[in-house]
Amino acid sequence: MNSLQNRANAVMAFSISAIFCLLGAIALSAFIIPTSPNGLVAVNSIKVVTGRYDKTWFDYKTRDNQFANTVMQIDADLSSLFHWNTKQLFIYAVAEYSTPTHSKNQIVLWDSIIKRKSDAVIRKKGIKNKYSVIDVNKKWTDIHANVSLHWNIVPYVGFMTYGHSQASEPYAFPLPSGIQT
Amino acid sequence: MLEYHIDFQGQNLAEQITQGVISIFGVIGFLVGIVFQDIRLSLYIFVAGIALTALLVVPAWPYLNKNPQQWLPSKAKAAKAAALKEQEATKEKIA
Repeated sequence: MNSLQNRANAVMAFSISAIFCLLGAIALSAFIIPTSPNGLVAVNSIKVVTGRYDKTWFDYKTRDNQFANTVMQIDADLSSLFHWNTKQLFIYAVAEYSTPTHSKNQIVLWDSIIKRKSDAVIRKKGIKNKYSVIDVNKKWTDIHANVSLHWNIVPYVGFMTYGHSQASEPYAFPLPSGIQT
Repeated sequence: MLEYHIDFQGQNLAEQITQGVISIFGVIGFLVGIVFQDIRLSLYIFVAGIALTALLVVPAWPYLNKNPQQWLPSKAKAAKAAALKEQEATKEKIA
């Protein structure tokens, strides 16, 4: 601390140590802030249609792969997840089911990014699936799937944390009725 | 040239001020941030603490130079002075 440069260096060096402590405390504070998120996803209708896979897939030639077209509604209040260390939320509706060949299958039906606390109360109806809903076996017969709302909290500093709502009651997939356009 | 030295007690004081003020502003920033739920406020308070600390200790303020060290005279200078004294003594003897 003898010369001017020494003192400037000492101040900067100590402030870097201190800011890491501050950021660490902020990151850990996210675990003790109480949150009470709740969400509900309901599927209003499921329609199964047949069609081709995307043309990059090897079995483009077959037209009888079964796709499900779903319409759902979401009622969720995630505003309590927005605290001082929340940058944004990534929310996604997941359909989960099991088949004789695969015990756990999860398909993301819809997703969204929420950047403001005022947008975190979601009352949406008539949400169509954003992504193709197709099983590994390409058939939907005798499958019952439940849906739930998942969220991923993206912090300013610290750990990414995940959560999800309670799963809905299982929905049955109907027989194919129509051809995908 | 642009070194602006301070004395030993001043250096000790500057060290303590640096650690104390920055730490206190860090704690205040965290508490204010968690109360107002605003991470930006925390960081602004912390940066204000750094600026205040830099202002307090980086320039060589007089309060950091209150106890200047009294150094012994250099050996070369002492030898010269002794030689001069001897010369004068011999001159007096001759006279």
